Amino acid sequence: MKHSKRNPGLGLLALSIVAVLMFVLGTVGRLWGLQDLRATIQDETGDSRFLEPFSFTAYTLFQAENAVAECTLKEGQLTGKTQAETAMLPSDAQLPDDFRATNLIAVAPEERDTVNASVDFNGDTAFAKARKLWVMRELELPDGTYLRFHLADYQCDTGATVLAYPGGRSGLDWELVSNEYPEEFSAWIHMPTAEWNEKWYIGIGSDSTHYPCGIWRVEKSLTEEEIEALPTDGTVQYGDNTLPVVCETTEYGDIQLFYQPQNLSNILECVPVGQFLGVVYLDTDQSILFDLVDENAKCIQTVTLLEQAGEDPITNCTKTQKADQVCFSLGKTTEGERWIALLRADEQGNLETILLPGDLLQDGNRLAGSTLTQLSEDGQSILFVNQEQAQVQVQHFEWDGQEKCYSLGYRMTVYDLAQKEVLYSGMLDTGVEKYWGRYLGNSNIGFGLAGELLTVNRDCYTIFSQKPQEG
Amino acid sequence: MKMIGKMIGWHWRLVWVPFGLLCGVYGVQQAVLVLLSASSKDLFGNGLTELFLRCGQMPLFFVAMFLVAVIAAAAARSSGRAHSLYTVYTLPHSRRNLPVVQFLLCLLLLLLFGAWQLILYAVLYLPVTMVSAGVTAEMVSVALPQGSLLAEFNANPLMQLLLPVSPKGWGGLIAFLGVLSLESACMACCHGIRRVFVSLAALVGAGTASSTLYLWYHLVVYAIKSPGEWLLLAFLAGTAALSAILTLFNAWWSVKRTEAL
Repeated sequence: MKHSKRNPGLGLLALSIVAVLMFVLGTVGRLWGLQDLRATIQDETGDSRFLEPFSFTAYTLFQAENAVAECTLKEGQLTGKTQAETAMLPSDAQLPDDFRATNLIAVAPEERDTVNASVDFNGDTAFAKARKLWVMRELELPDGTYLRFHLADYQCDTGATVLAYPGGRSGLDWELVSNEYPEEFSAWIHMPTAEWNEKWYIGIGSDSTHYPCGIWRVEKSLTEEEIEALPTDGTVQYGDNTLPVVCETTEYGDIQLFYQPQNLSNILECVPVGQFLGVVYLDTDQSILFDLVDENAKCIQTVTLLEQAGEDPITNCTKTQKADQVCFSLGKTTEGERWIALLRADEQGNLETILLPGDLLQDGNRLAGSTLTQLSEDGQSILFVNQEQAQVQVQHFEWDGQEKCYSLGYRMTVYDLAQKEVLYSGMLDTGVEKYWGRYLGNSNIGFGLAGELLTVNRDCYTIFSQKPQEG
Repeated sequence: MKMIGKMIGWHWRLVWVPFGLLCGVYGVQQAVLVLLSASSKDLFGNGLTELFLRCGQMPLFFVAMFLVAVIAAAAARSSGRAHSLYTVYTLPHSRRNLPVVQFLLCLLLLLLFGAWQLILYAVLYLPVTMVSAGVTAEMVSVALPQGSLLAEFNANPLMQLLLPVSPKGWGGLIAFLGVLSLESACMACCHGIRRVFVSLAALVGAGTASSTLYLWYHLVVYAIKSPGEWLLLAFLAGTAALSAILTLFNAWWSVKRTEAL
C-alpha cells in the first residue's frame, strides 16, 4: 500500500491562518466603523469661523451599535470620540429626572361622613357620590421624596363619582374617578421648577386658591417610608367593614413662600441664571415679564418679554448650555406667532436681554423651536441649532396613509444682531439621519432578551448635554 | 507536540467532509432566508442586520457551533476512511493525547466556522442591499440611506460577540470557545452508553455557556440599574455556574475514563 507522506494537517493549518486573518480584519473593520459614527459638519453658506464664539456638547446614542458618540464644538472645531460596548449615556447627557407634579382630587374632610353613609360596595371596590372635593397637588422630587398640599377646592353640584378599594397601589382612601377630572385640574400638569443653590423651587400658579401664587421653596419632603408611617386620620366604609386610612386630603412636606412678583397673575417658568433665579410670570396686564432674583428674594431687575400675551401664553425653555444664559420661546397661542427671548446675567446682576421674532429668517417659527440657542461671548451674534425634518409617503400599507417624518440632521445658523443677517449656515450630522428608514417597515417582533435574538433596536437619538457649561 | 499535530491532521481528514457539508448547508439557508426577507415589502427599510436577525440566524449560529463540536468529537469514532483510521490506530501515542487533540481540533473548527460566518455576512451585504433598494424604490419616492458594510457589522449583536473590541469581550469569547471545545473533547473520549450521558451533559453545558455569553454581554453593555437587574445577574451567575460545573465534571469523568481507540 502506498502511504502519502503529506501531512494532512497542512490544509487545516492554512485554513486556520485564513480564519485568524478574517477575525483580525473584522475587528479592525469594526473599530474603523465605530470611528465613522462621529458627528460631522457640512458648511453650506458663510464662513465657519463664525462658529468660534460658540461651544456645545452633544451625545448620540446608537442603540444597535451599542455605542455612544460624543461631539463637542469649541473654537469653531468639532471634535468627538466614540465609546463602544455601552448603551448608557454619560450622566450629564441623560435626561434629568423630572419633578413629577400631579393633581389628585379627594373627598373633602367635611364630606367624608356623607360619602361613607352612601357607599355602594361590590365586594372589591367602593363607590359613592361627593359634592365637595379638595384638589391636592402631589410632588415627587428627583431624590425620591414627596410633598402634598391642598391646592384648591372643587365643587360638583351634580355629584362626582369617587371610589376607594381596600388594596392596590393607589391607596385606600376616596378619590375622584379618572374620567371625571375637570379640565382646569387635569391629573398631569406642568409645574415650573428649578434646582437652585441646592434647594428646590416650585412655581404655584393661579389655579391655587389655598397657596398664593408665587415661587415657593421646598423646605421638607417625605420619603416613602415616612409617608407609610403617617398615622391614620380617617375611615372608609367597605360594606360592613370600616377601615382606617390616611386621608388623601392630608398634607405632608413643607414649602415656604420665597418670592412673589408685583402685579402677579400667574407663574410661567423659573430657571437658574448664573447665581440668580429667573422668574417668568404673567402680570395683571397679561404681559410676560422676567424678574432676576437673588438668594435674598430681592428682585435685581425686571424685563418685559411680551406684551398683551393673553391669558394662557406659551413659554418654553430652550437649552443654551451656558449657566448664565436662558432662552425662552414665547407665544400668545399654540399655533400663532412666536418670539425668542434670550437673557444673560453677569455676576453683578446686569441683565442683557435680546428679543427676536421667531420667524427671523422668514421661514416660519422654526427658530422658536430650536434645540439649542446660545449668545456669543461678545453678545454680537446668536447660534441656533434646529433639527430639520422631512416627510415621506409610504405606498404599501393601506391602513397607514400618513406621511412619516424623518430627521435630516441639525441646522446650525449664526445670526448677527447688529447687521441683522445670517453669517453662517451648516448642517450638523450626528448619525440620526442614517437610520430613519428602519421605522418605515413593519413593527418589531419579540420582546425582552428573547426578542433581541430575533430583532434589533436601531433607535438612534441625539441629546444635547443637560449640564450647562460655566458662562 | 509533533504527535498531537499529526493526530489533529488525521482527525481533520476524518471530519472535513461533514464539516464542509455543515458549512454549505448553513451558508445556503442563510443566503436564501435573508434574501427572501429582503425582497419582502413588509420588511422594507430593514438592513442586513435586521433581516439577519429576523430569520433567526443568531440562535441558529449557536446551534451550528454545537454541531461543529459534535462533528469534531465524531472524529475519534469515525468508521470511514479505513486508510486514515489504520494510520491513526498504528500511531504510537499516549492516551492523554486524545483529549488534547480533540480539544484543539474543535477549537480550530469553531474558529473556521466563525470565520465562515463573517465571510457569509460580508458576501451577503451587496445582494441584500441591491434587493432592498429595489423593493424600496417601488414604495417610496426618496432614497433611503443605506448602512455601509462596516455599519452593518457594528449593528449586529452576533458580530459584536464574535468581534469584540475590548479585552473583556475577547475574554468572554475565548472562554465560550474553550467550553465548547472541552465538551467536544469529553464526547470524543467516551463510547457506548457513557457517551450518551456525556453528550447530554455537553449539550446542557454548551447551551448554558451560550446563554452566559449573551447575558453577560447584555448586562455589560446595558449596565442598567433596573429593578429586574438582580434577576438577570442571578440568572447569569446560575448559568455560568451550571456551565462550569457540567463542563468540569464532564472533563474529569471523561479524561479519567479515556479509552484507547
